[in-house]
Order: sequence, then structure tokens, then C-alpha cells
Amino acid sequence: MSYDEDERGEEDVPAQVAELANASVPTNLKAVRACKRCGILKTPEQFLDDGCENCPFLHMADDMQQVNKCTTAFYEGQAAVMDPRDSWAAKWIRVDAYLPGVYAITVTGNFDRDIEEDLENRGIRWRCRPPQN
Amino acid sequence: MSKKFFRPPPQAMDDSDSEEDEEELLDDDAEVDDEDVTEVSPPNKSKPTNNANLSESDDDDDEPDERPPKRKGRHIDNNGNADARSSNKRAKPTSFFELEAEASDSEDDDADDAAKQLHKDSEQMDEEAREIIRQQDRRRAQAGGRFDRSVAEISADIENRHRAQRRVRPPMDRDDEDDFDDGGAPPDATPEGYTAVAQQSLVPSVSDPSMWMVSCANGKEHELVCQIMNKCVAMARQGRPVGISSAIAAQSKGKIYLESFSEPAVVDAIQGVRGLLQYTMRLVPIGDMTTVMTVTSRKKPVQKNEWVRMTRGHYKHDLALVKDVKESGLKCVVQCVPRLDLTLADLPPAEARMRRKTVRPPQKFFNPQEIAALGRHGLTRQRFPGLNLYCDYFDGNYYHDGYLLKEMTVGSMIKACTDEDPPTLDELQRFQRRQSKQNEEDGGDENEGSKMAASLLDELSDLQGRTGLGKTKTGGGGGLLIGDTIEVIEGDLIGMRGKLVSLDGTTVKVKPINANVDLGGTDEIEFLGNQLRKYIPVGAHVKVTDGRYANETGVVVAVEQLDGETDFTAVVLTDVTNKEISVRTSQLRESAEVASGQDKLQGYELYDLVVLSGGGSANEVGVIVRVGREDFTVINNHGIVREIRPEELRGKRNSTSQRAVALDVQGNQIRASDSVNVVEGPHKGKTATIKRMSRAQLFLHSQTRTDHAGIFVVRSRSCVLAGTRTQARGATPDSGVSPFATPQSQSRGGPQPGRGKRDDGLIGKTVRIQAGQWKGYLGTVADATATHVQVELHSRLKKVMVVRERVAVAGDKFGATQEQNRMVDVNPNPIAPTTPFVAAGQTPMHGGATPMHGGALDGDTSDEVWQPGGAVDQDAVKDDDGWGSTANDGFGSPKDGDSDGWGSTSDQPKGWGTYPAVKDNTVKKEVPSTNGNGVKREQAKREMEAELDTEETPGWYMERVCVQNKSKDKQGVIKEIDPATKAAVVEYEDQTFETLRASELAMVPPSEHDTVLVTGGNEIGLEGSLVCVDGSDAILKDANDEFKIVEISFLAKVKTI
Repeated sequence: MSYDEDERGEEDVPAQVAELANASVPTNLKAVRACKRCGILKTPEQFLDDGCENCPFLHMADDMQQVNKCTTAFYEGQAAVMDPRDSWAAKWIRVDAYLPGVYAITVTGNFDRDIEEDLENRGIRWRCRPPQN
Repeated sequence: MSKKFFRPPPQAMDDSDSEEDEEELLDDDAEVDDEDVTEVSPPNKSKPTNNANLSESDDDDDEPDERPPKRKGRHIDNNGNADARSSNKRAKPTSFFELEAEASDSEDDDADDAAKQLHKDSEQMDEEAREIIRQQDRRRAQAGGRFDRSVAEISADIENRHRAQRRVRPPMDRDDEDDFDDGGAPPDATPEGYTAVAQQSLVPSVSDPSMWMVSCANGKEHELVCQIMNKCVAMARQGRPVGISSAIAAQSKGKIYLESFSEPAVVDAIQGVRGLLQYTMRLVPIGDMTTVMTVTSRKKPVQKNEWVRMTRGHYKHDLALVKDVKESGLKCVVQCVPRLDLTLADLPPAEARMRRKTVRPPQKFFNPQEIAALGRHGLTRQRFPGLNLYCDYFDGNYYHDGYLLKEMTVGSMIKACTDEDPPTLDELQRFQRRQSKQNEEDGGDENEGSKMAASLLDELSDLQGRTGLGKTKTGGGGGLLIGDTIEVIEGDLIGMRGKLVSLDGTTVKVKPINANVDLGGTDEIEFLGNQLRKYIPVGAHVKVTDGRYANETGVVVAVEQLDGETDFTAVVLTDVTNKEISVRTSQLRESAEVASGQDKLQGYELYDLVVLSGGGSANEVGVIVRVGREDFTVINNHGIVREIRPEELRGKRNSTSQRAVALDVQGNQIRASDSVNVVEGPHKGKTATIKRMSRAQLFLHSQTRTDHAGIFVVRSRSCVLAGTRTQARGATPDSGVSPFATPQSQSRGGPQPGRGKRDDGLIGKTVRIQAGQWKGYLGTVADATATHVQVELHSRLKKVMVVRERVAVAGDKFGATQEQNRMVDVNPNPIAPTTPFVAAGQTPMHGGATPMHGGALDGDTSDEVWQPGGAVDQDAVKDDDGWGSTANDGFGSPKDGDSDGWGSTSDQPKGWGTYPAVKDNTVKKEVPSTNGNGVKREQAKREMEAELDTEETPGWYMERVCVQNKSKDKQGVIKEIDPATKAAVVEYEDQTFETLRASELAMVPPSEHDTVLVTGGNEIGLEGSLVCVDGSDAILKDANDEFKIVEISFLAKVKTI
């Protein structure tokens, strides 16, 4: 948080920089999971600690079961998005509306039926796709 | 920090977050909200590329001046935002968002939002904003964005972007179908609307950042991307953001991609990141950017009730069923048939470890009673962790219904059965728990996995048009296939035969073959499956389709119905083994195919040389002559044929066989794939190819033999190498190394190729050296001249030159006769056979004897004999190896005119014939004494001493050598030398020919620039041009322009062809 204080000291810190400064990066290269809804990559511990910054409605924080339900280890490609607004790659994988972070290029998986319904009811879309054979 | 920061729900301070919050608070209002959105911004939605996000940002950068209020509003927002952030991200925003929510009920996009905030009541402003948005959308639709902007504009844009404070935009996420439709499929607005068309509209344009490719180490892509991200985050925290917008590790190996508007930013970003090769940085063409982003999913999560295959350990390749998926597909609980080794516990640890590694226990269902009966401890009932199943817990594993339940890691431990590799019938049958057993144990339901296996089995059986598999075996008509000939065995039409036309469950349609059956107009009759049997006539050629003898083919010799059997049994005489096997007719199919038998069983193939275990002998080897379904027929090194099970084999020795060399009866080296004639024993007279060899046993293969796949066993000493390969072997492998190779091959190319042939008699043979320094050594003759052989010693890595008569072919009792045999082929003359042998072995000796003889006979010519030596300058002569040596050799050459040189030996009056062979110095002294020439005598003596081992015939006495007829003083070239008589045909310069003996000839001493041949010493065989003479050394230049120093006495002038 000290950085934040520094930022406050500065005049006019661009929001994007502030966002980037607070972006989460997988702390461990192994056991990285992708949020099934937004595709952000973090370790299960990170999901457990902070939840998913893009998808707070999944209530992953402090709920390991929910983390397991809503994240998947089956993803392909990593795109570290520093500036979602500008990045074409972010647009292409449709994470341009999300916070900076490392995102999966494709996410394979299905939500549980109840979560899926809940998201549908809220009109929220998700990135994970069922596996194709 | 992040922990605090990213605590989920009230992620406020911008509209999106507030919306999110709002949504959480008022879930029910979500749809209303959306409706609001659509209502509030109809113009937006009507645009074909209503990209709220972009439109807004465009808005920002293109109309900064037009819309100061908006920016101001943002600014305020921003400040508020910053405040919220710094104090507490979660606590404050609520109020902020409420404020926002109050301010605008529609949160569709920031533009509207901001506008509304400042001009809450001003509809005009809103309209204006919309108008601008519309303009932007139009522009975007035209060219996909900011294609025509100046640098200044772009920078302004970037600046604005940095000021922009939007974050997550739930409205987009919430875009439902209506919205989507209304909006003309705005791609951004529907991040999850992954249609190809929608994606197509996202292709990069010039306004998008450029992409650079940087190479890195393979496999480090992900790590590097995270590192770059970390770096960017760290830099951002210091307020010095790196100007890249993304870093991508897709599926291209060893490459990562960075996206930025400026190249320096990319350089900046990768600066100091280890593992990136900065110099490889390259711009990605805009058209290839989508390719970069293309990934194919390789990993696939397993799903419950999916068939998988184990990839490791004892269970490798075993079929398993996924019972439960854990950790979002990373782990799963599988059910499989256990492979429990109960003997392990009784073994000492080391042995147990060994056994665990080597022995794969068979599949067997777990039986708690059995374990208990064995008196094992540790068998308990326990709940499987994470599953509501009570299992038998034994030895660290859980068993349920006899199946093993185990948690496995997907990917490393198991992989899903693919379409190419589906569960086989066999596997499913093994997986399926027999109902009877099941009842015994649990007295209840069949295991779910077993049921699944059973149902899949049925499915597969149906697919294959077979019945009689799985549990649903339907009695009689087993193994019927469309097209089969059938016979009716029940009902009115009993005995009728027909062709099977169609199969449908239990009923089949049959078209009768016999035309005389009146069918009342129809030509197809329907039967039940069990009213028919497959008709296999005696004499038909059939293939076994199923069961123990599957894939065997043969001829049906009998068909009978055994007592108590419904099915008929056919006796088939198999094609491969000529055995009679009994097979049910349902397992047969008429086929013209002739099975060649299996070609492989457990890694062993036909004609493999294998080591056999058991049978007493430790070193028993054999060759596989038949590969059966579960055993082999092996012919062992004693020629005994046995049936061997794969377990009895201890590995292959094919490579050993390939390397092995044996000697035939003549001492020829024979190797695998050589062709040999058998000269004794029961197989005498056969010619066959060596398929394999083991020590002295040859496994010969003859294509004309049918028994044991043409293989029979013969000792190597009972064979003789067939064909002319003896010579080929002598010449080819050694030609590169042998010093003799050059002159020989040259002479072969010359007018009489016959000479080489004679020499080859010994080449390749194993000989024993009988005298001299190497006495007693065995070796292979690598090369041979008329007088000498070069022997490659077996015991030393060395080739030595030995006088020809000092070697004896190391043969057995057959030595001489074999030589004869061989020669008989070449020359039918009954006397001839001995000649080459004698000529080879004895001529030199005799040749050596001659000079004395000659010297004794005509003392007048003795000076002439020495003439060549005298012709050379005296210094050379005085030196130990001057030309004198050559002269001496000349002296040693047979001088008399007898065509049969050696025959005259016996005639020698003084009985000195043996002296050169004995090389007794005292005798030698006598030689010159007869000549009365002391100098020469001394010379000769020294010469003899110096070259105890070397020849008695002149070294230069070879073809192509320039010689001088001593009597006529005419110069010529030796065209050829008669191998038997040692007489040389000399072609004079005037093209006339004369046959002369060596003693009548003197070598023409080479002078500078002559082409010379080295006839002795280390460089023997070398040919080159003489550059100069320096004392006793001559310097010559060989064909490779390399200079060699050779003793001048070894040089002979040759005529260049």
C-alpha cells in the first residue's frame, strides 16, 4: 500500500497506471488456475485470498470450494494485459473490460449448473467453453 | 496490499463497480437495469459497431476540446477514485457508487455517465454526447478506428486513456441477447459472444498497438510473461508505467509477443528480463497477429463417468473409469481393476522392491475375504476421502466392490481415452464384474462401473454386428455376419441354406441359395437368430475371427456337432503350422486370406536369435522359426526344435549375431548373410544363407526348405563359403589400408588380371606364422604379394609382413583338401589343384635358391648380376641399403631358363638350395666368394643381415617396372609376370616382347621426375614422382602432392600408363 500512498502524493495518477499497479500476477508458475468467467490467471491461493477482481459475484474469496468450482487448470496461452483498453490482444480475447492482469487465451471448462444459471440470470457472460472433441 | 485491495465485492469508485455493487444489492433489478440501458442509449445500440468502450474512448481523444466538461467530470471522478483507493477501497466506494447510481440510473457507458453527472438535467448535453458517439462509431465502422490521426492526436489519446477511470464494465457483461441483437452484434459489448463473425470484427487495425515478437528459451514463455507483468506492475507502482499494453505467451514455442504503440517501450519492457533475446525482437505483421493469438486446447479436463487410461506404473495402459473430478479437473478419483501383489509382503524389502519393479501383477478383483484368509492385517472399512463411499482399506489403497479407487492427477497419471484409442472389448470385459461374483459378495446392486462397462460392451457388440458378447449373449446364432452362408437348424425349412442379407437384433433375413425352394414369391425369409447356424462347408478356406485361435487361417477338414453342444465344431488344418485345431463354426469366416502367422509376440520376431532359459544348458540359444499366438517354435543350437513360451526367452542376440565372425572349413571368415555350402554332415551339399550365427553354430536359411521356416543348424566348420566373395572380402575391406592395394589393383587393371587371383588365395585366410619374430602367431592375411603376405595378427593390433612360406593356413585336417576343393571349381585339371598352393608357398624359396645356382653356373655373368648395383652411384651402394639390395635381389632371382624354376632346385650341384631360407651367414659368405668379388660379398652379407625377413626375389620385380635386359642393354617394361615360372614378359620400347627371367633383368634406376613405385619399407605401395635423391634417401611426391622420404633402394621406376 505504500505505493498507493506514493501515488497519492503525485498529482493526477492515471487510473490505468493505478490499476496496473494493483494488478495481480500469478505468484507461482505451477498450479495456476484460470477464472472460468474472466480467464484471469492466479494461483488457487490468490483466488482464495482475494477472490477474482473481475468477478466478485463469484464469491471466491475465502471459499476453497468455490475457488475449485469457478477456476480451472485447463486453459491455453497466457496474455499479460497491462493496459486492457489499449491492447488489441485483450480485445481479441475479450478481456478489454477487465482489470490488468494475466489472462488465459482460452479457457476450457464448464460452470456448475447452478452458477451458470445464476450468471445467466444476471446477464453475465463467461469465457470458459466446454471442451471440444 | 493486494489482499486488501482485491477483496471482492464493493470494488467501486467507478460506475462499473458501482453497478456491480448495485447488482449485488438488488439482484432482481438486473434486468431492469439492462432495459434501462437499452432505453437510455438507443442511438448507440442502433449503430452497427456500437462499441461503447471504444466509442467512449474515441470520444475522449477526438473531442477533447469540445467537451471540457466531460473531462472535468472525469477528473473529479478520478480524484474521488484516488481518494477511495488510498483510504480504503472497499469501505468508501459504497457511498461513491451510491452517488453515482443516484446520478445516473443508466450505467451503460462512461460517456453518458460523465455527461449526466455534470449535466444531470441537461438533455441537450446528453444528445450531444450521443451525437459524438455516433460519429465515432461511424468512423470506426469505416476503418476500424483511429487510422487517420496525427501523432499528436494519438498522444492526446493516450493521455486521455490514462486519465480514463473506467474499469470493469458490467453493462457489457450483462448485455443479454436482446441487447446484442439490438446493437447489431457489437463485438466488444458481448465478450462472450464468440461467434466467428463477431470475432472477425475484432481483427487488428492500424489503430491498434503493434506487436513484437521476442525469442526466448523454450518452455520459459509463461514465466517470462509473468515476469514482464511483474515488472510492469512494479514500474506502475513507481509511477513510471512501461508503455506496453500486453505480453503474450501463446502456443508458439520459444516466442513471446509484446504489444505496444511504441518500439522503445517494448525494448524498455524487455530490458533486464533474463531469458529474452532482445536482438531477436521483430515486428509482427498486422495480418499475423490473430494467428499469434490462436491456440488449440491440448489439455482437456476429464469428466465424471469418462473412460480413461492409466499412463504410469503397474496400471499403465489399464482402463479406468472416472468416479469423481476434483480440483477443477486436475485430479480425479478413478475406478479400476486392481493389480494387487499379495506376495510382496512376504519378501525381504530389497527383493520386494525388485519384484515391484519387474513383475506386473495380473488384474484381479479385490476380495476382502481372500485377504482375511491370508491372515493379513490392516484391512479395514473406511470412507473414501471426499466420496460418500465405504471402502475396504488395505495397504494404503481403497477398494470398493472389488475395484480399486484411487485419486489420480489428470495428465500425468491418466489420460482420457481418445477416439483413436477407445476401450476395447477385451478391456471392458475384464473391467466388468461378473454378476455372479457380485451377488456373492454384496448380494445387491452391480457396481456402477461394471454396469457402465457392460452397457458399453453391448453397445460395441451391437456396433460390430455381433452377438454373444457381454452379458446379453443371445443363444444360438452367434457370430453371424451379413454375407455369411447359413443353414437353418430349426423349423420347417431345416437344412435350407442361404445367404444372410440383414441382421436386426434377434431376427435375421436370409436369402436362400437353393432355387428349388418355393418361397411363395418372396426371396427373403426371416428367421430368429437361434434358428440358424453358420454354414461352413468342408474344404472351405476359413479364417478364425475370434477366440484363442483368432486370425489363424486354414482349410476345414471336418465339421461335426459334439455332444451337448449347440454349435458345430470345425476342424481346421492351419496354413502356417499344419496343425489341426478345433474351432466353433461361429468363430469362423470363409476367407481366402492366408495368415502368415503372427510376426511378433512380446517383441520377438521370426528369425530372432534368442537366448533360451531352462533346459539345463546355460548358453542355449536358438532361432525363432514360428511365432504363434502365445508361444514360439525355436530351433536351438543343437538343431533341436522346441516350443518355447515368451517367458522362457531371455532376450535377443541379433546384434551379436550380426557382429559375429566364424571360420569355415577353409579358414574363410564367414558372417551372417553370407552364403555357404555345407560340405559334411546330414545337410551336406546344401547351399544356404547364414541367417544367424552363435559361436560356431550357423543357423542357415534356405528358401527351398519348408520345415522350420527354412532354418537348419550346421557347424561353421562343416561349411565352406560359397561364391567368390572370398576375394572380394580380401580386396575390399583392406584396399584402403593395405600398402599393397595400390600396386595390386593397378596390376589387376593391367594386361593380365590373373596374377591378382593367385595372390588372393591366401587373402582373408587365417594363418599361423611358422618362423621368425612372430612365430606362432595367428592372424588373418590382409594382403599378399607373390613373395610376402601381410598378416593382421589376431592377438595384436598389428599387421606384419611375413615371407609367404613362413605362414601356414591355420586350418584343421581339411586344410589341404579344402584348398583343393576350392581350386577344383576353378580348374578341373586334376593335377592343377596342388600347383597354386605349392607355387604360393614354395616358389620364393626356390627363387631364393636359384641365384646361387645361377652364380655357380656361370661365373661370367656374375658381374653382370651385380651390374645394376654398380650402375648406381657408389655412395648409395656403400650405404647399407643402396641399390645393392635391389641388385642382390636380382641376383637372387631365378636365373636358369627352366620354366619350372623350383624344379631345378634339386638339381643344384652344391645342395645350397636351402640357404636363402635358412639365411645362414656363413653360407652367404660363400656365395660371393664364388664370384670373387669381395665388395659385393660384403654388401651381400650386410644386405642379408639387414633383411633377414625380407624377400629373395627382387622387390622391384613387378609389373610396370622399367627394366633393362642385361644382355641386350635394351630397356623395357615388365608387362606381366608368370606366377608359376616367375618369368616376365617385357615389352621393349620398340614394342617387341620378350620373356625373360628376373636374373636377366636389371631395374632401370630411377632418376628425378620419374614415376616411381615404393617396393619396400613403410611407404610400400606408394607411387609418386621422384623429386630428388639425397644420399640414400629419395624424396618423392605422391599423388596428393605430399612429399615422402623413402630409401632409394625401395624405389623402382615404373612406366606410367
